[in-house]
Amino acid sequence: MTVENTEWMTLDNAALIYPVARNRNWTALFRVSCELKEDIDPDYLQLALERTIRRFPSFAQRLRHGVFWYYLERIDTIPRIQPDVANPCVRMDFKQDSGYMFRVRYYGRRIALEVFHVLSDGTGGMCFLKTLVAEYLKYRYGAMIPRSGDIKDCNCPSTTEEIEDSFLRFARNESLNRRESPSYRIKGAHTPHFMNIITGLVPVPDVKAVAAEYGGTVGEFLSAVLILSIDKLQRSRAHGRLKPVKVNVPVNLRQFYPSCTVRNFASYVNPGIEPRLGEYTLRETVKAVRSYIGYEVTEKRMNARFSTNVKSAKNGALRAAPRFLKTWVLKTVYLFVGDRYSSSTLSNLGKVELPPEMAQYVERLDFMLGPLHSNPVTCACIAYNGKICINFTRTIRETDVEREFFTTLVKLGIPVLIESNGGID
Amino acid sequence: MSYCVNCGVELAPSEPRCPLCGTEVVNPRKPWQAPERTPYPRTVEHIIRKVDRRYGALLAMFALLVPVLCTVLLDVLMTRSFSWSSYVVGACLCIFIWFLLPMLGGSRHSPYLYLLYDAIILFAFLFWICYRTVGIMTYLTLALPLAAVPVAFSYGFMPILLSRRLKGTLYVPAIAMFMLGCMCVVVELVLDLHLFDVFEPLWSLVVIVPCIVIGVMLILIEGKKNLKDRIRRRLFI
Repeated sequence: MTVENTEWMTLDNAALIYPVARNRNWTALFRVSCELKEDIDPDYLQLALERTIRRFPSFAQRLRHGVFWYYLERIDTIPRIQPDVANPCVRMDFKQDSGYMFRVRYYGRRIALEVFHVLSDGTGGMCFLKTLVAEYLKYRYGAMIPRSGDIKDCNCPSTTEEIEDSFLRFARNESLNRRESPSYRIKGAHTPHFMNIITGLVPVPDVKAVAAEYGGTVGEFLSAVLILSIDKLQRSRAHGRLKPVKVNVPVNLRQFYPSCTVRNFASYVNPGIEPRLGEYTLRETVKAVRSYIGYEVTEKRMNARFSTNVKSAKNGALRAAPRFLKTWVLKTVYLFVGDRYSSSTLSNLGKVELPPEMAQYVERLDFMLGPLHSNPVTCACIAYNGKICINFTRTIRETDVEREFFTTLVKLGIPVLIESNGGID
Repeated sequence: MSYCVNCGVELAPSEPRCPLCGTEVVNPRKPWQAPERTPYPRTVEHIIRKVDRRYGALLAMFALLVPVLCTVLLDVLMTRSFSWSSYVVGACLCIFIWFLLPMLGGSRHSPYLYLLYDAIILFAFLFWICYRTVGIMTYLTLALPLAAVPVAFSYGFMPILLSRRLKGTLYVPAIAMFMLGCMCVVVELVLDLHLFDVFEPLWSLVVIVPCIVIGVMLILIEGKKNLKDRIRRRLFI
């Protein structure tokens, strides 16, 4: 069914918190980028963006203040592409560029897309980027790229399924208590408005082999290494009682439901360890993560998790409360609870495959998370072309977590190639 | 192809030092050379905080009009003259010139000009109070010199505050501490000469000594980058 009216739309269930939680210094952003084999031509990229934005009406929206809720309002102007910067994912100013909540940037051979989480999640962002790159390649090189799955055909209109709020569609009545114990929080000297990036490129077969040796998948293995890296940091700094070390792992809900939405449709789990019980080995940590994910990441439990949020948003009293009151309450709750249950985030987009007609032009794909509200270190992974690109982003000077993470991989016999954005100095 | 001797990771050609531990790349066979293109551009995006000060100042200006109009009205109704309410009007005028005028004018005008307006309104307001109460002589021998002291020190401190070389360093608060101490001595000098015709420093010494100690401490901390970093790390919020 094609979309008839996108004049305005409500925020999806996961997006409700982001406009409330944002502040003068921070908006929840993520970035996906694609590196081609030749330099980017900005004129063709602008043309490609103009075509792509018409195909993704849920991206051509500005945030508006309603009496009871924030809502999205259609923008009819065309967004402008921007040159890339040394510090990506800096807070967005929604008064600029007609209020677009994403930006397309280019530098050398790279096209990057930075998205405010209100619009979409990593999967939706990657879908937009793939379509944008396919359009660019079509105009720049005349490449005939088959349009299916994540690569949308810009000659066809978007469908209502693509802009639906899948949370509402699939939520059931049963909910789940999300209460957890607070976890260890990484601290350090902050670098305001500068996101330090350290990228590690590792070969997929090597990581797969080591992960299998430890009895886990690549995602579970990397989560375990990150947990242990944070645990080591806590042990070197902590003087009192050791706190649990947990990592927030977003879960793509499209794997459980027949959803093709390009808006948010992800939940999360927080696997971790209890360091006060003793020092965990890597094998034990992988086992703990695997058991936790095996238990939590099922359709039943994930549904109960997001149904809790849907149920809260449907609450009559909450719906009837004016927006300023909701904002005030939710902001306070987010301030105290927000990132409290995890020490960091590891978002894994998994293996991305492109059709051969497109893959011949694409050298590398990147995925990174913008700074979080309270946790200063985040990690995002994406696998493409036989390499896993592990992007650490941090808003503190100290590199202890990244160093421990990558040196652990090196000690396990995995070659790591490191690059960075130079840091704040 | 270079490896970090400390971490064991391979470093991209763009890295002059290991991003993980800071160890410099030392490859005797192939000294490091900056590549033509780094992974990220050098341009840093800065957040421009658009606080609408002008609008805030306009609101505050209208808020100030409330006490002004009320007191003038009461004064005229009760005493049939413009007497005590003139002090309220003068005080509100001072608030307007000192705080709201720079917000309305923004950075288009020189800060020295704003300081000049501040001084003029201060002198005028004190003159009016003295004229209505203790007389012109007290104004000339006490109020005017006392008001001139902070004005002179502000003019002296302004170039330091605006200096790009000193911006962000602890030298600025250190100099401010020294000047604050000196200002107290001059204030006591003016008061002593007016009251006793002789200068005997007493309370100003109690102020100037800690000011000098704090100022010297700040200069010493500024000289030690590691110490400054450690303090910043401990005190970050």
